[in-house]
Amino acid sequence: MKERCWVGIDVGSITCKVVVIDEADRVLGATYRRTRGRIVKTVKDGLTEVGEALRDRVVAGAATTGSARRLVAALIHADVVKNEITAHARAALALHPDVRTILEVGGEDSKIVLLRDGVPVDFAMNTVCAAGTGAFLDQLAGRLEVPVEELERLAVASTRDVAIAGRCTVFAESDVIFKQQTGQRIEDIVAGVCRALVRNYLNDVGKGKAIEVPILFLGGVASNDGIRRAFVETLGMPVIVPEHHRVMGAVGAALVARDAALRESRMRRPEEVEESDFRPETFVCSGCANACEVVRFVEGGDIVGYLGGRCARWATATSGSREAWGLTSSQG
Amino acid sequence: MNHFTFSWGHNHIAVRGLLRTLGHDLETPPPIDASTAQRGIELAHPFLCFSGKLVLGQLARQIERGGRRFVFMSSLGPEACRCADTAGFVEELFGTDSGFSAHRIGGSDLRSATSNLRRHFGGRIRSRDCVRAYTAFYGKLDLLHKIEKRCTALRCLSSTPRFVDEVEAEALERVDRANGPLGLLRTSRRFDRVARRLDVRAAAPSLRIGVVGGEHILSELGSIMAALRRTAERGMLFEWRGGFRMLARMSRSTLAPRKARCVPYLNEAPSTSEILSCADALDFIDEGVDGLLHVYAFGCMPQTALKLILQRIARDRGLPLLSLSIGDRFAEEGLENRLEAFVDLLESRRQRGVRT
Repeated sequence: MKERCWVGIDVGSITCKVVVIDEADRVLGATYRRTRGRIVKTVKDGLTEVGEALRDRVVAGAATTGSARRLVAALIHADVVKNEITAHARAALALHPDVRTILEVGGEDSKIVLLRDGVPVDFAMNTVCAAGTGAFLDQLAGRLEVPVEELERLAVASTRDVAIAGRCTVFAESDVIFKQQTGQRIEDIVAGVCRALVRNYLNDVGKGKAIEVPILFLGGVASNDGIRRAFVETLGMPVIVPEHHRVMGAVGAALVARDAALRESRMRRPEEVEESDFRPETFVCSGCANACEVVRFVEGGDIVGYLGGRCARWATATSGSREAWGLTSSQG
Repeated sequence: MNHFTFSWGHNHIAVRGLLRTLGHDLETPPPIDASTAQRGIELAHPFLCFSGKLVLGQLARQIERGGRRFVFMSSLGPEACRCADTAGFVEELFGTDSGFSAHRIGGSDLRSATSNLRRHFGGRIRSRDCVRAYTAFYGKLDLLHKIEKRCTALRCLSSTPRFVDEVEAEALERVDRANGPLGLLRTSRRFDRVARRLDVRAAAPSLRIGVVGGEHILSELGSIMAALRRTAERGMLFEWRGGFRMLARMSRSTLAPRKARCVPYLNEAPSTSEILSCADALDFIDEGVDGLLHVYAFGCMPQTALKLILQRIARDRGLPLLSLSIGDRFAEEGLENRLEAFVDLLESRRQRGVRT
């Protein structure tokens, strides 16, 4: 009898993570890629990359998470779709059952989850600004003309405190330019940028939250030890970066799929996904004055699903049910 | 003579009731769509809240169609909130060149309310006309809030939400047509009878979530209501106290007990909006809701200040709170994401027996 495995896919604004786990919560295969705006292709490539882990195993469940979770679910025929806050909490609890605080800094959003006795009891996400996220580091790395992966090496080599304004990415960039003009070392500026991100995060997402140890730091940004150090320095508490911190959302999704205890998975084999000409198209519904933007998924010339809209009109509509909704071709 | 106004949910129906009593009529505001919102954003001062921008967009559309005489749903009484500033801003924006004339509903007593009506509609209005006009206005407002609240709850729990839409539309039309207190009473009773038949899901909701803040945003913006409905399919019940209550009868004496309810969290001299939302939050907690959802327009000063107070209340009482600031730059995906995660959190607390 073939061994069972579960697939989790986390596609955010910047990166795509694909993970395969087994019954003992072991990560059999994991991939982390930048989407560069091509979500469908990145997911296909990611699945191909973890293909070895899927070989000779039967997929017992698949779940998607992240901001593109619904689109990816339609592509791979996922069994479960779950938000990334719940997915991260699920993974953190599985791998570190005593965790009390999760700090997660993603590409364009950041979140904090508080857990007590193994139960998520509170969370917060960044609201109207992305200054406390990976986008902040990306932008400033560009300004400093260093690859974002280099920031860690530079930050840990800092010997002197340089204060950088962290309220807004644009103002931070002006401040970085000013500090460069005044002859500050790049290592000290980068460490200042890391502290600015942490200050912004704690004053926005972490404001008023009872942060307690053990603290897990997740997300792609956790790879930067300069940020971890800035958290330790500011909080005065130890901060743990777990082994699979970059793909923890995908691990959580795979665990959520396992929790669903399905008899069999709907997920397509990676080869089928690879061969698919699946593509999303957008149109504006003319059914009422709301003029909702609706996404239509097309595959093999057929409409295979819809996403979006404020009413239930498109929720269950496929090409076969369009007549049931009284739609004409001009209405999208 | 036809007047124009903007829409806060269905409150314009109450305004039409007031105008008809005085021998005038009101044109139905155009529905809020993306282009109306965009027009408001172009015209508005950046610091005006999102709701204010929607109002401006609607008014601009009507002025472009030749509208000149407007009725503002922004009270002059002690309950006036910062939305009254929007009225002043619109007067400033359109007042001089277009012959724009706006009437603000309300007054702190009968005398000031009558004099306010006279200024706009001419000196022929007597005190008893004023009483009749406001009786129609408040009677319709109360009934509209009742219908809106009940239908939203039914929509959340019903397996046939589209049927609820039809019932609501029919009830609103009847409120619009109803004449006098007797007509309103008949409409109210008929609605109760129909609504009782709509209670299709017998099972109690798995979770109850109290909604506070600018509740009118829920009915005004389809996106958040759609997110609530989809979330409610999991058996949630979202409850709130009423729509745009700044217009409701809220004299100093009726406001005082609500203000006292807020102690020790609100000690300064806050606006009515903060008092009502804070008192509602405390009531909801005492009634045993599983979580609080705070919804407000981005840039709304009283509600932004209240957010911190609600955080304190939530921390003291150990109750999860989700604050959603709604604005023109707010992605719907992010809104639904937060709401879904919030409900997951409440479900997991409930399953593991975490007590407030």
